[in-house]
Order: sequence, then structure tokens, then C-alpha cells
Amino acid sequence: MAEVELRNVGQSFRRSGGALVEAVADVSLVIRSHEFVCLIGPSGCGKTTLLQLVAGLTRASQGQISVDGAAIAGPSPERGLVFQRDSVFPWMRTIDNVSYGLKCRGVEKTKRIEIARQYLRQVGLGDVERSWPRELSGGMLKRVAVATVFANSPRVLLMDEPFAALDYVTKLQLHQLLLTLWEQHRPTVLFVTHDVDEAMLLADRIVVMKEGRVVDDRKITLARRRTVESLALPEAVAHKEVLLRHLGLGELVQDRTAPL
Amino acid sequence: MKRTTAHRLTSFGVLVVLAALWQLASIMMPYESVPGEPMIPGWQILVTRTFLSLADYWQGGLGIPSVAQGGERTYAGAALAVLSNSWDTSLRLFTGLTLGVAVGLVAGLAVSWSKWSRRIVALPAQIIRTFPMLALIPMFQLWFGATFLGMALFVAFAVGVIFFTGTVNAVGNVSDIHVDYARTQGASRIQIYRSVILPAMFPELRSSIMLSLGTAWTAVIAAEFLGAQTGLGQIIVFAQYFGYVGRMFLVALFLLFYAAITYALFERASRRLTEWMPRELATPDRYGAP
Amino acid sequence: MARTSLSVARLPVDPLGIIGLLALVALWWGLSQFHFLSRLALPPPAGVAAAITQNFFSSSYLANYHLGYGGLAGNLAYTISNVVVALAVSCVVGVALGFASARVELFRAFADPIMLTAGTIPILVTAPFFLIWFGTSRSAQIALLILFDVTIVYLFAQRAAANLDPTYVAAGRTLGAGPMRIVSDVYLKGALPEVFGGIRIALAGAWGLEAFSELLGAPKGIGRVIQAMAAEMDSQMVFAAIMTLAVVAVAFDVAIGGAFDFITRWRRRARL
Repeated sequence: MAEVELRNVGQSFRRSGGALVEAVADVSLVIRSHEFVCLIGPSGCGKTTLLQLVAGLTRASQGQISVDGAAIAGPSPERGLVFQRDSVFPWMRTIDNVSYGLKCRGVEKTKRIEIARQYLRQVGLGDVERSWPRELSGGMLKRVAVATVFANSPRVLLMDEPFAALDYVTKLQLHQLLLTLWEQHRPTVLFVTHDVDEAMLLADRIVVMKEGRVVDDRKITLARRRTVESLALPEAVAHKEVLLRHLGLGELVQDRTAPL
Repeated sequence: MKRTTAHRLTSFGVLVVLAALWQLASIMMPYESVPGEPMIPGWQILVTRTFLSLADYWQGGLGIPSVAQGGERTYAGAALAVLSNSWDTSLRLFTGLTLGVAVGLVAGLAVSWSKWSRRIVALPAQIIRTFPMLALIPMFQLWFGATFLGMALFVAFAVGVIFFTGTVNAVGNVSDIHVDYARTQGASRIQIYRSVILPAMFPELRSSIMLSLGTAWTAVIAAEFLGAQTGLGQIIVFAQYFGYVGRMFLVALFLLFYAAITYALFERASRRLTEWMPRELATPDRYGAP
Repeated sequence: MARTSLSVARLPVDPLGIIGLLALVALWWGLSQFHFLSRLALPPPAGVAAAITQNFFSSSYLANYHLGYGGLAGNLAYTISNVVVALAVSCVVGVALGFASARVELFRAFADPIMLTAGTIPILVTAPFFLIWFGTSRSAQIALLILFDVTIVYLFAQRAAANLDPTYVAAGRTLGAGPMRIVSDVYLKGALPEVFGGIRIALAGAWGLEAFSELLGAPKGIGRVIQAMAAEMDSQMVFAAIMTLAVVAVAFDVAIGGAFDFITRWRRRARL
């Protein structure tokens, strides 16, 4: 559906002291259609900045980002973004939130309510369409955000540590929901996280960033859907150990004298 | 440069620009409201001729004869006029302010003592709060005449209403957790008031104090506009009858200057009042008595 | 006081509050029986009520003082129209300037010093100047009120826009909202509660300011009624005029409060 290409992308800004900071430095990446890519790295490595660049919320100071060959110019519902913080508008009812993107595109009212209702049902919130966001829990708000983004049939799905603020159980439930929706609609996904387990569960491919650069790019070929057992397979454990080392958590990794 | 210094510099800069615009206007629009009195006198006129003309408002004494009785306009006379009228205005202001704050505070604390009194007073207080205060001045004048008493009492009334509501709100906002903690330590009602509620209220009273100061200035100026015999507000209104815009502007500048100073002083004083009383003291010591 | 999420006005009223109100009226009546203040003591409630009803819709008494034949109501209409017009204009200007200053740092650098200084000085000082520039006309009153209202609305609008979580703006953009929609659907709707709070505060002060401005000089209005009646030493009519204005002020405050509750029904209740 959509191939995302980043060519020599860089983003720098000046700190108040005058020092030049390179949040993203010379990143070149091709994300193939329908691929689920997780972007992982320690805090401050530039992964969120990179996501914002692909979303079009900020313009890259160097390089070019294109989707299916066409350079991007600003944010668009075609590159839907699910935020880490609550982005559901508190002053609109749930159904109005989910249909907002469609409203901006000029879709007529009955049609867009119908589409919104359909997606709300898909995320399991069919009975709260008239509720105010303040009445919903954190997990429910996240579902609403996901439904809102999917309602616009995005070709690319961008996710900025979307489940970081949720409790363990809710987070795992949302993983399954996300995978279901992805398998159905097949957008190209770029998912930012610092949670290695989350990445292992979700990704076809894990890209590691450090200090603004890509330092590793690993294909994960485990069969879907991944379970506790499949994530304990030696190949999965090997991936995880490398990733943990990248994040500076080498002491968690068992020291093997025999090479893999 | 730090944000606050940058802010202060821009504020100062804006003032300078406004002053320059005034000068520009005085040059471009040399109309006269009254023969001999430019409508927008430039700064060079303001600090000389206009200031001198304020000597008209000196009633004579201290060796300087009044202009009305044939004396000359002198800088000394003008200065005395400004000083004595400033004094009159300030006296009314501070008397009313002190009275209003005192009564408002005491009444507010008294009402907050019991839950019943709080509820009974809530609605009437809300209604009095929405009263158009300034419209009451003629009433005060009917009762007391345009005297010092009448004006000070009006200021006191306007301030008292605000401070009363502010006190009741402040007491209500003292976190229950502090009060409960004190009660579990066996503190009596009075002890709780003295050591928990009063200190915990101070930060909120700060905003009430600043609000009251603003109200007091507006009240005293309004009262003077409506028929005082002396005072800076009175000078402005008298000058307005004759169209002496220059004098109005100059005296208004004095007023604003005084107001700014009082705001700054009060802000500093109230900040220190709440600073040396750290919030930890509002919470009873966990080992001892409150 | 517990409130359901659908309460539209600040009802039901606390019954103890009604008792307090009645006590206040009783106090008024009691004080009016004593003449210790001066000969012109507090006019009794019954007298004031009679004065209001007799002169409300038409009054030849007031007409004698060049206050029109519309009685108290006619003058009240003048006062109310000034307050409402000034507030409406100030909302548009204040919100526009406030939002702009929250978004554009340079604009804020210029607007803030002016607005904040104007917010702290007693605006009343400018009243005589407006009288000279506009004469004793409606424009003098409206100009004064606009000056007063704008500084307040500006402050609240700026604060609201600055406090708005930028995530909402970003979300709006990624959902395809253009700049016009961002302003109307995100900024205006999100900032409305705080701006409304400012409107309420501005309105509370506006009544007294308008009445006072009319006292200084106006073609009509409740303030002019007060001034004319005070000159006649008719304290009963003075009080009657003040009371009608007070009732209007309270009515507007309740209405705005109700509108506020309705408009902000989406808000999280304070966790106090």
C-alpha cells in the first residue's frame, strides 16, 4: 500500500546556549509496504524526532522523506499518528472525535458517523459513543485514538510510544487489538518504543537508533501471532540480547563463551 | 539574558515608545481645547507650563499665596498642590483599605467558624459581591456628604466585600488533610485556627490583598470624581470641566505612578509575609503539638 | 456541593442561603426604621419596591428630569446595551490578541506590557478623557468599558491558549485540520472555559463601571437616573435605581454561570 523512504534525513536545532544539536543525523531507511517496523533506542536517541519528521509535523533540515515516491509536505491523515499523551479532544464526544478526520475531509455527516461507529465497535467501544472523554479510562482513550486514526484509512500508521503510559494488562490487550487491526487493514507501520518486549511482539523489523543515527536493522522472522513460547525460542532470545546490549543493558545478558 | 530582565526591558521599551508617540501626536495635532491650552501638550510643556498651572490648586499657606487670591504660579506652589492633594487621596485610600481589610478578615473568619453560618452567608455574600459597587457612591454621599468619612467608608465597604469573600474562600480551601491531622493530635478548635488555618490561608490571602488594593484605588478615584473638594481625582475632574487635558494627563500620571508603587510594595511585603512562614509550619509536627 | 454532570444552572439553591437572604432583607428593614445616620437614612424595602414598580415601565416623574418616558426600564435598556456591546467587541478583540500573543513570541513581547499595565491601572482614570474626546455620548461609555473588558479577556485568552496541551494541536493537524479548523475546533473550544471565566469577571465589574460612567455624563442610563435622583436627595429613587441594576447584574451572573456550566460539561471535575 505505501512504501516510506527516508533519504539522508537530518534534523538539527540550536539550543538556547547556541550549541548545535543533531537530533537526527543522516538517516536513510526504506520501509516497505505493509511492513511493521519498530524503532527502538535509548531516551534522546532521536526516534521521536524521526517519527515527527515522517508525520510531517516538522520539516527536516536535511534530506528527503517520501511516500511511494512523492515527497511529503506537512501532516496528513494518510500518515495517521497515535500519540503517547491523550490526544482525544476532551471537548468532543467520543463519536465526534472518531469522525473528526472524516469531517475535515468533508465526508457527509451520516456517512462519517456510520464509519466512526464501525471503528468504535471494532475497538470494543461501541456503547460509549456518546460519552465525554473524561468519563473514559486511559486504556479506553487509547482505543478511541486508535479508532480515530484507523477511521481515516491511513496508508501509513505512525505510533509514538502509544502504550507507554498504560498499565501492563491494558497494554497487552492493546497489542492484540493493534495486531488485529493491522492484519485487517495492512497499513505500513512505524512504531516507536523503548520497550524491547513490545518490539519483539509486534515487529517484522526492528531498527535501532543511537545518538541520531541508525546503528542496527534486524529482521524478525518469527511466525505470527507471537506467544510466550515463540518469544522464548533461541532466535528470539538472541535478538533480544542484542537489542538489550544496544540499549546499554548488557549486564542483563548472559555471558556466553560459545558464539551463537 | 534572563526572561524576566528581557520582559522588564521590553516593558520599559514600550513605555518609551508610548511616550514618544505622545510627543509625536503633540506635534502633529497642535489643536487647543481652550485658547492657550494645547489638547496634547508635548513633554516639554507638560513638565513646565502644565506643572506650573497646578499651582492653581494650592489653597495658600506655608508662605506661598494662593493663585486664586492673586498670587503667582510658582513651582513651589505647584509642588505643594501636588503633595497636599496626593496626601488627601492617599489618606482616604489607606484608611479605607485598612478598615476594609480588617473588617473583611474578621467577619470572614467569624463566619467560617461554623458550617451553618458559612452556608447562611454564602448566597447573600455572592449577591452583594455582584453589586455594582461604583453605583453606590451617590448613596454614600447622601449619607455622609462628600467628606473624608464618606469616601473612606466607601473604600472600606468595597474592599471589605472582596476581602470577606476572599477570606471565606481561603478558609474553605485549606486542605482537609491538615485540619484532620491536627484534630487527630488533639488540637482544639482555636488551636487549629491559629496554627493550621491561619498560616495555610496566607498564600491565598495574598491575591485578595492585591485585588483589594486595585479595588481601593478605583474606589477612591471614583469617589473623588464625584464631588470631592480636594484630592488628585478631584483635580482631574475639575480640569476636565475646563478642558485642560494637559493637567488631566499630568495628574493622572501621578496617580498611576502612586498606584504602581503601592502595587510593587504590597506585592513585596505580602511575598515576604508568606515566605518566612514556610508551608511545613502549617502542617503540625508529627512528634509534637501543632 | 455535589453536582450531576448535567446541571445547567447553579440550582438547586441552598435553603440556608435563602434564609440568609431573608435575614439580609430583615436587617435592611430594621436599619431603615432607625434614623441614626442622618435624616436621609436607609429607605425602607417596601418604599423602594413601590418606587420600582411605579416607575419601571414608564415614569412621568423621571421624564421630568430628561430621562425619557421609558421609566427605569428604558434607562436600564441603555445601560444593558452598552455593557453587552462592549463585552461582545472585547471578546472578539481580546481573544484574537490573546491567542496571537500565546503563539507568536514577538507579538507577545509588544502586547503584554501594554495589556498587563492597562490591566493593573485603575481604568477609571481614563473616564474623564473619554468624556472630553467623545462628549457625553454613548461612545464615551463604550470606549471605557472596552478598555476594561479587553485587558481581562486578553489575559484569560492568553493563559488558556498557552495552557492548551500542544498534543491536541498536533493531533488536529495529523487528522487533516487546516489552520482555520485548528483555531475554531481546537483553540477556541479548548480555551472556552477559561475565557468564559474571564468574561464572567469582566462582566461583574462592567456594571459598576458603566453606571459610574453614566454618572459622569451620559444621555440616558441607570447611572444618570441615580445622579438625577441623588441631586434631588430622593434616596428612595436612588436606591430603587441601584436595586434594579443590581438585580440585572445578578441575573446576568447567574445566566453566565449557567452557560458556563453547560459549555464546560466536558471538563474533568476538580479533584479537591
